[in-house]
Amino acid sequence: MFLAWRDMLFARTRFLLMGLVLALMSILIVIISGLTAGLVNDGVSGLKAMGEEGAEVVAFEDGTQTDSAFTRSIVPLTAADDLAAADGVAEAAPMGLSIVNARNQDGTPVDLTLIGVEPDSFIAPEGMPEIAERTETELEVTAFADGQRTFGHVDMGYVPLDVWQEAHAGARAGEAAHEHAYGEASVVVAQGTPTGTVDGLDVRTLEESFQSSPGYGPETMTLSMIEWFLYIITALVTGAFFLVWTIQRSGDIAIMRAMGATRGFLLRDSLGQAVVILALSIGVGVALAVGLGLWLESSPMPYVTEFDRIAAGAGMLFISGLIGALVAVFRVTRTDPLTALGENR
Amino acid sequence: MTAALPLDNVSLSYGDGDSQVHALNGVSLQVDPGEFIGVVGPSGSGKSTLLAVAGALTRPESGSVRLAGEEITTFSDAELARVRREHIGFVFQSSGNLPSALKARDQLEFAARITGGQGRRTTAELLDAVGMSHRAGHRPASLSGGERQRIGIARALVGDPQLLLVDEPTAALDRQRAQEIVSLLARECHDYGVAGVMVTHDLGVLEHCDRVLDMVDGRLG
Repeated sequence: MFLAWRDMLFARTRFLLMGLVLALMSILIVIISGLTAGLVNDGVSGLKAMGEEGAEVVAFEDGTQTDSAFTRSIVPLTAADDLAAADGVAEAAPMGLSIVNARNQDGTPVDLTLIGVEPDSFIAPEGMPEIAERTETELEVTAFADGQRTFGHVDMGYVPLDVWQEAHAGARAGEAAHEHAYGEASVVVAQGTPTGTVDGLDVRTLEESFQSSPGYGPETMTLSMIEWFLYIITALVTGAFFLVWTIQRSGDIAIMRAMGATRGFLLRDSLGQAVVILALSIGVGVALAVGLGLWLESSPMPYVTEFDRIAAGAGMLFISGLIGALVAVFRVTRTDPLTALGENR
Repeated sequence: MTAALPLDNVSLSYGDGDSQVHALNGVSLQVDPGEFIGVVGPSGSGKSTLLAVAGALTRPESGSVRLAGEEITTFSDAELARVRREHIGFVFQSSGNLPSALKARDQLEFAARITGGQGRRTTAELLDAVGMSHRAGHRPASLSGGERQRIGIARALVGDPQLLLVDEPTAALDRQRAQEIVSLLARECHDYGVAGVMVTHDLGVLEHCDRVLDMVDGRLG
């Protein structure tokens, strides 16, 4: 690293520019990962919360398409008993889910994900009312569930299953719905995974069911594609920089090889530069981006700082850059020391 | 006294068939410790190839090259690099042979890191020996051609090589500077028992050589 350090200080403008590019890439990676986490949370935080309550699988009506399956699936209440009876399942509870138009107490129209659950079932949150007071079509909020619970970017409201069944069937306030409405739910949520298939049900893990939240698939796919492009671009940019840099100092390298420098010595020297510039730039970029992200979290943007995700992104960026540099720097081992002689230079 | 560099009947050619060029054609050469010899000859006569073979930069096709008691003609690239590190000092032709980021002092420190040891003389003593103490903190860009060549000589002497190989040291220098540089080379070889081989086509500096050999079409006369 003797020459590597002095080279970097001597050619500091070039290395600063390169570092700036890498730092900006790191900021981009951190922001995008925060945005991904935020969007995922907005889409499926309610489902994740059910996972914390013990939900492991979600059974849809057999034949429901994967996307937006929650709002399309209809299962009979007996399906919950069928699933509960299956091998490997500890408990199963029916759940109704629909996204409805509502007005808040100020009369402002809002979207609401109405979740109907049996109040004594394992997916019912703390403070779930036994009976919701229904006056006209008004629902009174009796308690707040802990944490963020949204589905498809819409806030969730828990109601007793029969209230959901009436709302789902389109019954007006005070009216009873058709008899058959009281025998239906959207899905069955269960603890434990059934070992075999259950007739009439399409059983998916909770993770798989995320795909059925509106927009979840396209959102996460687009953003993760951007992340992969950033990794590839980082590898190419770092590779291009070190390729040009290595060619520029090929004279020095020929001299060093003629003096008897080992391949290891030359590689350490050159890769040392890549490691230093990558580590410094990514470190600075990530630090700036985390600060920026904490500010974004306080804005309405769906943004969540997840440090393990940021660490993974920074690590990937570092590895991509190092791969690019390695390919470029490998030239140093092939420089012919003979070119140090005569007028080749 | 054993020769520092015995070359025995060494041949090396480039190309094949009609275009085959005998860069070295049965060359034998002995240089004793403390002896400074000059090799002259026209361009393409094989002078540079002689330095490459003697300097363990390449292997000859036939013949024997012994350095520090080791027959190096069958050595691997890594072993040749070790021989260069331990026993050989190069003074290169171009005055751009010094990494531009390094100050004069660091050029020698860097060479010590490559050769794996400082040798008998410290960086300060070597800089003093080539008359460059006052320029120790300067980078190549702020040194003259002659000064750069002096730093190059001091660098070649780091680690006490047995053999000093010098490639056209006066190519970019005026007469006065050329004389100073070659007399410095000769003095260092004499004073420290280094075997020196200088390849040049500058006939004006040969008076400093103990022996002068002519090279024509790959043969040494």
